[in-house]
Amino acid sequence: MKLMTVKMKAALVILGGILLASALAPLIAPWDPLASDLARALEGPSGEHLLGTDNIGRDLLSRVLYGGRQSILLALAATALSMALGFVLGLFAGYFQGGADMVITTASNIFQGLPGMTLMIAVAGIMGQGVKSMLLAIVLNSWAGFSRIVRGEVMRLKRESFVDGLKTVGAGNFRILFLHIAPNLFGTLCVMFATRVAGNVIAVASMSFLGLGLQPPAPDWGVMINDARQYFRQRPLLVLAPGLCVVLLSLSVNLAADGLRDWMDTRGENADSM
Amino acid sequence: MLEVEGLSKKFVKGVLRGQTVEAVKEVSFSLPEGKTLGIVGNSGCGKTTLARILLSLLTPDRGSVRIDGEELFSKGKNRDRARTRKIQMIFQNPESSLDPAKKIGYSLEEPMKIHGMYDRGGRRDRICQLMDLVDLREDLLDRRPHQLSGGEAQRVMIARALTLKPKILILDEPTSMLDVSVQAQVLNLLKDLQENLGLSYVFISHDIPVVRWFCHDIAVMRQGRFVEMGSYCSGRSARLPR
Repeated sequence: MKLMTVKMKAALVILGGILLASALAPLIAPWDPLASDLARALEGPSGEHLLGTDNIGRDLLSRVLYGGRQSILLALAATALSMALGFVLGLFAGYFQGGADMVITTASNIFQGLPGMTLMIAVAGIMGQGVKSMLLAIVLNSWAGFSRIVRGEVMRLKRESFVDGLKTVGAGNFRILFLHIAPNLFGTLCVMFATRVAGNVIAVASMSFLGLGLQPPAPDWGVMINDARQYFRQRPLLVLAPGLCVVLLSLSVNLAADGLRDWMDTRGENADSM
Repeated sequence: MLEVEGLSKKFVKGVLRGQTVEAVKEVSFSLPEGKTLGIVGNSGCGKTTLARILLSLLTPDRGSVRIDGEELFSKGKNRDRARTRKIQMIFQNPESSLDPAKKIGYSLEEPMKIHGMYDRGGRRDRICQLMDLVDLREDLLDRRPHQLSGGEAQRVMIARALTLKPKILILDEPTSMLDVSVQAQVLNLLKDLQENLGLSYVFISHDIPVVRWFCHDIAVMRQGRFVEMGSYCSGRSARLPR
């Protein structure tokens, strides 16, 4: 197997660090992320508060550590849901073609044509603020990408002669589709999932920043950036620390997804020469 | 015994659906048990369409296909599993004829599962018996298709076609993707199987010398029709040098 590139190693280290810190936040955070102390608002970094405090005196480091927990889970859940929806629709569209395909493909074209952020804001606006409407908004925004790629892969696999072979030994459509075509999509789905999670981390943070997702006083990176906007000149760390976390997370997930795709490719080549 | 009469199939093509192509026109032949019919012809002459009709992957516009007197395409009936299993196929490209995600053992067991043949242990025994019949080691059962050579994969395909105990095998250029030395082995194997199991073959090929050696009757196909048909027996008893 090809050795991992430096890029990939760096991405995995950063990603592992962020995930570990978020998971262990209750153990390692020095302060309660919600406890405020107005007497010590907007302090700079000190021995007691390593990154300083925010406008109502909450410990910034603790809030940053806690800040990824919900948005990472939300991004994963939203991606899993949109993958499930896109996967099923793409399977049927690609395999059965005809009318169902036309409806599904038209719908996915429309959703892919809409500007993502605007669509999400509109959905959240109609559904009201909150986690549920944010999930729905992200799923509506990202299912089409999955269904389109799955459809294409299914159409390619359907032309392989093993599908004709299965028909001649008497296999029905559902056996072929779920037992034979679907498992062959596993690698493609892994890469798509990883790529999409990176985008959805940003989507969750953006929605929370706009006040449409997670709500204050939740310790969340998007919410924190929004809260701290007006104190940016005074205490730039209040914006920079959570902002940097969002950037590092989505960057490392993206790089890891790239690496995963390369690894899948080389695995295929090596297997052939075995 | 396979009897084909007046088989025709048209395809509609073109952007405006205005053009029709007659891929198979009025094809008739009969193939006795234990014999081989070779079909030769240039690309696009309708060989593959004919094969797909015989496998009931396509429905013909006109004509009949009878296996042991039973009609394959009776009106208003969908393809019937018990009947279609009498006719099986060996594909041109063995590597893409097996599901890449499944182990060989799974692919061999599956047809018997679909048709509810034997219990689990019985299927296992039958698989071992078939692996032996096609000269493959049993440890290949745990491999995946990309870990096999072309010749091994084609033997697996032959074993899988035999799981359902068919009477007729359609061989669509079964050796054109294989090395020359492996070609001879596979063809000899097919010949032995024919003698031992009394199988009938429909052998589709470009390779005239192989067809002359392998087939009892030869049909030449052009633009969907059988334009010439005849027997060729003289060279057939010999074996190909390995």
